Amino acid sequence: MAAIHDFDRRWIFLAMGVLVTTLYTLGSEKALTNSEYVDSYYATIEALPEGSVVMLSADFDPASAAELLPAYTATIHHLLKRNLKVVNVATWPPAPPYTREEFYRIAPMYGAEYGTDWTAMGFLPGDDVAMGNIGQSLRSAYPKDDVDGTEYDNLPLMAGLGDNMEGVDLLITMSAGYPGILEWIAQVGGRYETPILAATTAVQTPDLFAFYPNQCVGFLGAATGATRYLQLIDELTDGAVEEVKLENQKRMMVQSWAHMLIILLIVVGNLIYFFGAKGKQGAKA
Amino acid sequence: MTLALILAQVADARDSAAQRAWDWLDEVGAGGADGGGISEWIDTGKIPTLAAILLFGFIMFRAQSKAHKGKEISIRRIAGLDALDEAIGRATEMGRPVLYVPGIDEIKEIQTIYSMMILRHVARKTAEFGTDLIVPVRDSIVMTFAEEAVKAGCMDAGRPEAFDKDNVRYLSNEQFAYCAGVAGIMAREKPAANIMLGMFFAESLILAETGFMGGAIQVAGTAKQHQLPFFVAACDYTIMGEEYFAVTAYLTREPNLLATIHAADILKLIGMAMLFVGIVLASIYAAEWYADDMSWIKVYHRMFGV
Amino acid sequence: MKREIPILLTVLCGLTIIWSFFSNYPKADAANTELLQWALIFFSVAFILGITNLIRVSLKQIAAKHNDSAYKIILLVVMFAYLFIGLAEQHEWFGPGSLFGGPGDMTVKDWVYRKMFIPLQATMFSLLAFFIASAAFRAFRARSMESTLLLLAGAIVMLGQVPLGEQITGGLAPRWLAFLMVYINAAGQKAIIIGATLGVLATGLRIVLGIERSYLSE
Repeated sequence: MAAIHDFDRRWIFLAMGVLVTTLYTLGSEKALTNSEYVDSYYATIEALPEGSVVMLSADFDPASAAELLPAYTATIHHLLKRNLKVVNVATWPPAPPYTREEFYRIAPMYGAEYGTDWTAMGFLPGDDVAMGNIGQSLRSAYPKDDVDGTEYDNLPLMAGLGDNMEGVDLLITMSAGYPGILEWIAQVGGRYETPILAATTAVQTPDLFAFYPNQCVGFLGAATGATRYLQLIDELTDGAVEEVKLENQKRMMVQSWAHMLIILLIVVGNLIYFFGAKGKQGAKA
Repeated sequence: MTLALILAQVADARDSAAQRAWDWLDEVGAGGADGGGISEWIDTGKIPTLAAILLFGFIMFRAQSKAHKGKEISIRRIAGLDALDEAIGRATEMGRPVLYVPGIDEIKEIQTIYSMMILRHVARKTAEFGTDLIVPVRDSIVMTFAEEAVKAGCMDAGRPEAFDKDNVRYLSNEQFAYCAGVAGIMAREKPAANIMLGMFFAESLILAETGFMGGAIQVAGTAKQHQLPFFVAACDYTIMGEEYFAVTAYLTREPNLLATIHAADILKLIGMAMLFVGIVLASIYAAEWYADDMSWIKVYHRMFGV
Repeated sequence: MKREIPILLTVLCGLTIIWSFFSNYPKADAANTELLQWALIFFSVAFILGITNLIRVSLKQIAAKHNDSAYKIILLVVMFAYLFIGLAEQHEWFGPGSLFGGPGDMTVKDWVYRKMFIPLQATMFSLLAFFIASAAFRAFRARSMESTLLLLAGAIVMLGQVPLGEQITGGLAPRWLAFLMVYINAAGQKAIIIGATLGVLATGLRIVLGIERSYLSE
């Protein structure tokens, strides 16, 4: 055990750093197999009639963008490709810059117009209280939009939505923590019975199994789920997400080897522990 | 013959009671938001939730009343809590401060409120031993509560002069900026004991590993289940889930707090019993083993949808 | 009254919000929304308390020529500079493409946010990858039944989540992962959530009914 405690951790950090950098630079992609939860996420969006309204909530920050931004981008592609209307909200302050940029980039590909096909209402402070406000009344939560301060009623898409999530057919959240999917389930899903989809970070994914398929009808768990989803919609969007898909598949290979390194470290650590313990027993004898 | 008659009468009474329950459900469901009836004033879909809360309140107050009358309520030993005193003592011997991280959530989070209660206890101990206590916080309102808790702890120890306002430090509202700030305090001020109790998110492992590398004894506790594995891996003692809510009762042995733990345990037992009954009834309903006429199985299905 | 008024306010506000949750009465929602708006305002104003504390502690350490006073100077300079940049953005001199504006169509605030804040946040989060490796090496020991189960569960999750793990185990790892998540993990999560919620409910009830008064330092 002394060997483990005295071991300089910086060697482990170096090994991890070299492994990730080398593999990412060399790069190779590998397709992932499907998963029930990702298929459910995809199928829920596919099942919506054209013109349905989807509320897309960006509940993440730059720290978790590596895991959630690909899922977010893919979801926007899917929603706009299917001619669904998107109301963009955010409960994390750093999120709106990401959300708007992605829409500005992607919306023209599908001829989606701001105000009619999509809106960006911006960040609403208050965490789960804000979610409750959004659920109760979008109009009072967002009197103006976040792009240029257009009044709520002057946005054709918003004017058709009522209180208590009336008119919103689906809620999708990109959830990095608190507030996120669990709070949406409590504040909106449970109260107004709006179906909810989620993309979450790896740490939060185990939570969702308890809520699937009732409160959360489908989810993308971590970067793995996002990659699977990108694979599903690649053909649907005529290759618009191919670059992002290939990038994510490369990242999944890097992550694979990083996991192998951790497993190797666990095995080595246990070997040192067991042989160290046996050595001590031998010495005592 | 008599037995059969009695059983038949019991079955009749049971079915008519089920029929009355079914009729009541019709009555409270009638009217809606536009019409009259009870549903104008109360959301009938939430009646089971209200009933559960009232039941819990009743059990809690009964337990408190019994506790005040002298009923003994025991709590099993929680290793992490015994280690709190050990950690503070170690810091005193080494002449280094104690670092108390009350989590990163706001005061509206119950775990943060509990953390403030525990902070008062820790502040009392550190004031008694004459050890510095550093409390970095992420939220301004939590900062004011933390100041009050530390001050109250020092007063409890009879050493109000031990309170140093500058040791309760607001760092940043940004999660990772706060995390970097705490890691910086650990690296520079080298606390001998790190106590991390409250609501944590992704920064938990960074804090715990940085603290370990600094050689501190670490006691962590949270009811946030996805951070528990990181604390278990990186800290010396971890207080998990419901144990966290028992901390203040364990430390203070106050009757009100012990009674609350006792009431929660009773409700868990009730919950387990209901779970078992629910599994049986749902299975019977799914297998269609009930009779076609009115029965409690049907009432149960209507109320709970399973 | 110093004690009674806060308790009374707590009880009234708590009961109002509980009532609005259970009630269909139209005014209940309005009362709830109003109280929540007041709470948001309080939180925003309280931010000033934190800033004041930060400035006071930093200035004290700078004046005392503390070891890390250089970092404190940097902190204060950056804080006030970004505050100034954010406020000044409203003026035409600091807008995109203007005299003191940022490069291209970005304002200075946007540039600092995208080129400094975002990479710094991502960097801090990425530390987790290194720390989990070192924590796993140090702490994942099969020294008891429970720790062995923890170890095995961790290994299954790590193998099941990635394509290489699926390849190595001949497609079995994702199935083991699914079993672990759907049955064992979900059951455990639900149990922990129920237990923690009861703790939250108990404390919440005590605070709302004025029984728990630790926030008054009692």
